[in-house]
Amino acid sequence: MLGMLKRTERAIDAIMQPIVFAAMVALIVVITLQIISRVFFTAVGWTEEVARFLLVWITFMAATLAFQRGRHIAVSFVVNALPVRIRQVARILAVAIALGFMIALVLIGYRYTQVQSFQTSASLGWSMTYVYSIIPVCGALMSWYAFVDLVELVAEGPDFAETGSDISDPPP
Amino acid sequence: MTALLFVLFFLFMLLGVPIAVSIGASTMAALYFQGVPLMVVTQQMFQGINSFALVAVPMFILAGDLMAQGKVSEKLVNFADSLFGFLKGGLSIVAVLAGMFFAAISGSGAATTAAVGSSLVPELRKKGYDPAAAASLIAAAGTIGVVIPPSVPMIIYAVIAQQSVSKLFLNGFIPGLIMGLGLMTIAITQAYRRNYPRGTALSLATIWRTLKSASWGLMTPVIILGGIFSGIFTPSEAAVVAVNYALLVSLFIYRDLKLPDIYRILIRSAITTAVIMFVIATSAVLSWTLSSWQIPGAIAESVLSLSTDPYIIMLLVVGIILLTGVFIETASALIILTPVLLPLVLQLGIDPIHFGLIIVVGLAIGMITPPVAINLYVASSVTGLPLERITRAIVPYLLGLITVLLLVVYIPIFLGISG
Repeated sequence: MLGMLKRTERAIDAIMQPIVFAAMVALIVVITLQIISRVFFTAVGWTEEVARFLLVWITFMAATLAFQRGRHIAVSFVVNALPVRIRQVARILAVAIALGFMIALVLIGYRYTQVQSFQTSASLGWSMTYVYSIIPVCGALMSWYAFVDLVELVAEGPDFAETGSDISDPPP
Repeated sequence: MTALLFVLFFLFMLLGVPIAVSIGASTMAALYFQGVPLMVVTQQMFQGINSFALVAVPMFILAGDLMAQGKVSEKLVNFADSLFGFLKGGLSIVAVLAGMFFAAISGSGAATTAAVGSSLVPELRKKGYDPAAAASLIAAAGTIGVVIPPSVPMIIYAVIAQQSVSKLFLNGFIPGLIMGLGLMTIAITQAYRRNYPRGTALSLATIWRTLKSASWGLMTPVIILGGIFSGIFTPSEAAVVAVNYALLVSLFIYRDLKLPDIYRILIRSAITTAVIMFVIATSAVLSWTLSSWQIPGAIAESVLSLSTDPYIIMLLVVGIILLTGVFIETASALIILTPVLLPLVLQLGIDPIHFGLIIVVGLAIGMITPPVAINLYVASSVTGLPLERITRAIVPYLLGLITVLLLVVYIPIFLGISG
């Protein structure tokens, strides 16, 4: 059962990675295009908007990768100093809080996309519903990861699921 | 309501909830009990990161990662060695100088520590330098990575404080230089006490040869900073130019990275970015909430009712920055502290650019103060030494950098050039 849940995590992650890669490449290409067109031809208006939206999308999509790897910055030295039983309770509480926040993000985010459905982006005229939809979608993915972590913590003890790490860069 | 928010925030944070979620969840709870429609949460999260200036964050992280993985750092170290290796304890100077070179390419302290550490540590070992002292020196030199431009924390500060990224970059050189000179002075003193050897003899031919092979790396800051300060590029565009340049150099000139490496590095940089940006997103909700309750103004007022002497208040501010840096990672600390401290220092007449330098240098020092000390972790993983040994050896460098911070705070106030 737990093995199957872990496999769903890895499957989702394997789908998200190439999408994040593509978004990063797109960001590089779009701004390169912006520079080339401005320096050699005339400035195009839409590149800045696309770059901003790509940044938002990369943030939420790569946040799911970071969540799955336990890379979001957390103060873990306090919990690590606790005795095993209390540590397990603390970890379960922490993951439950994260799960609650992510579920709230899905619900609020979904409502937000609905309310803003008449709105279009300033330069390309895209419907903002699509742009905002990354929030509930990635919120849902992180809810699932948090749920799997919760099951794992209850089943296996406090030292299995990582909720976060103290530092932002993984050592090279 | 403010009390509820802060109690929940600290409770969540100490439980080990990711800081971004601790901020978001505690703010959301407070807004819910206040009866504010919660749609403001997603709205502010989106607004907080929907910024063209912040595009520079992933791109400078990526450029630094690409350069740190390849041969660029090795060539910079060789060049620095040809200049100063002949001195007694010269490799220590080389470590700091290479850190300063790399700081001008990368915007992150960890990348700078990793780049210098991985190419210099074997050499330091071979020459009989005390490994813990060498590792801690490299970690300390890594802090310069966020002070000499480009700098990810400076970009974040500029966006929160609504200041010009270029202006902050331009003013980062002098503090970065002083940090470097301070560390070199301490390192040379230690070299004489421990009787460290001299390295390669000084030779113009070697300098020329290493300069030529390092020139691809050394060109990076010329392109990035020259482009920004001449007004050809915005900082975000310059960051993308740096990425393209780093890709070109590593794929076609040094040929030290293959396409699978590029894929891996892009994903890694995206994750590092998301971790920082997600904190920025939820913090945007927090700052919106705090300013709608007029909290930052109230804090400023109550602190200023104690004293209005800028010398005393700034000492308090520096203490808060250093203490926060001990426990919280740089970007998160910056995002939490800036909206609270900025209104206070503005009322003292401190220039917002000057305060940006203070908070960035102060939090850079936090990169070498455990328990949360990214540069020490990186130095430990590069050298394989336990964290405790590196931590003991960091003390003299730490004191040196705090001295530099106090100079950065007080000299402009004393000269009256701050605001």
